Amino acid sequence: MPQAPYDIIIFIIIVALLLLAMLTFIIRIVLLYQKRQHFFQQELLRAGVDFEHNLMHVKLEVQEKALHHIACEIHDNINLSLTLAKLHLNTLNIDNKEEASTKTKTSIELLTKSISELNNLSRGMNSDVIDNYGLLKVLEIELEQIRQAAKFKINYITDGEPVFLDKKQELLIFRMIQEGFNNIIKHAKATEVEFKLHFFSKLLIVVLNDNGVGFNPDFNNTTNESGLLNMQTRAKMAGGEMHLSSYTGDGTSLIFIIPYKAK
Amino acid sequence: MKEFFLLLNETYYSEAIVFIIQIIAAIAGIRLSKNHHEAIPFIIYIILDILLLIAGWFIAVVLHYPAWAINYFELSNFGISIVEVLVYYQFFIRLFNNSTIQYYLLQIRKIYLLLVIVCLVGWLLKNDYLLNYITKLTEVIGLIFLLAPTLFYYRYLLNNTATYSVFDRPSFWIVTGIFFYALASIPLLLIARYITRETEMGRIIVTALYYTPYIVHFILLTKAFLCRKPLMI
Repeated sequence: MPQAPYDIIIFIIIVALLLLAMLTFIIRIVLLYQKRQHFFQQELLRAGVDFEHNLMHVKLEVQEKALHHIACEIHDNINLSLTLAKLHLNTLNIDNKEEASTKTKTSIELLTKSISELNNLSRGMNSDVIDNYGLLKVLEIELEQIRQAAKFKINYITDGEPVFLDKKQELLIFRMIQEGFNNIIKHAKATEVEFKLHFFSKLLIVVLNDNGVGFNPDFNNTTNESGLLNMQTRAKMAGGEMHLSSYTGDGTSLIFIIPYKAK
Repeated sequence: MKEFFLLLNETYYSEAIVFIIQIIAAIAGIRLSKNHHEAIPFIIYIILDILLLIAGWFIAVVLHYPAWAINYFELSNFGISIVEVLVYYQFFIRLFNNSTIQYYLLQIRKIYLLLVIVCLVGWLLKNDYLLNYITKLTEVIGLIFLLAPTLFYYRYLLNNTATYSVFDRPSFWIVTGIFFYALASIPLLLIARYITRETEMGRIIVTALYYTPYIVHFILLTKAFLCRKPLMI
């Protein structure tokens, strides 16, 4: 091989250095990419854990609310009926057949009412009721309870083809609606509430309108804010979004748009 | 046949290796293009390059380098470099999901095409020196223009939140191939004139610098096709 000219050797060295730099650059990019991927995966994992944690919180809230409702029902209705039945039976005078017959009949009626109320309660108490009956059934039970307690009229409308959604999604939607009604009961002073469920293909739209006192959403109120924030977070967790419009003295409109995959 | 092998020997069989790699790349590309049509421009580019290579062999072995052969080789190299730049720019424009970057890429492509037109006017003026000078310059500019989006790509890659392994991304292999090819070829195109091709050392350098990045580029392109995923991932 003939002797290489000096400038060719210089050229080879420069090119070799260039290639080395290029290779180092690519390796550096790959390592950096892998490091970032690892970071993103950790973030995803954390987000997943947060999601599960929030979901658990929602479940506990639902259970807590159910237990509260049961306690109230036992105290206000069942306890009262049983006490009255006991009172009737304690004061039973078998010598007075007519009075004894009336009291026995009343006691039986009170006991039957208590049994019926206990049956209703056990249906609502079952924490798997969403899993077993689906969102619509649970909402019906919930609406019935609200109707008994609240002073407003509820116009409940569903349209479209109702479908069973993902259980987690149904639980979150149920909790959002529950929170919405809770706000109406506590703050709205409404006389009429419009509650609509629109089942579109792959999209559920929940509308909750009231004719109450309304409020200024821009005005900071810690209680309101945390409740609304909770609903917003849950709407996001359910993969959807929440829209709120309210004016002082002009009612409140709450809309949840939830995309879903039918089961 | 003996002449043909002598011809291949002149480039230390690099042209034969390029040919084989290109055939493999074309087959992998055609198989991928059944499901992913974005591979079609790359296949056209590879097949065009294969045809030019075969035509070059034909001119050398059968026609024994007629007088017009120099201009032919000059123009075919120039033509394939235009196709190369346009195919890769099309790929980059589709790859970057950012309107600002897409706008700049479109503008750069326009400038490049303007340079190509200048070069063709030079060729029409029948000025061989100008043709040779401008074609080399346009090739270098084309490669520099290709280099810029590859750097954008690496930045984009590092900010990407998708959880793909980098080695499963066809775009990574394609961009790395063109990055390696462009960066290694630019020095050669700039100083090829000063490297003495008469010496054995000069020939080795020209061959190594010209063909090695070219071969690596097609190997990486084949690897991208073999990922069997959309090329934009």
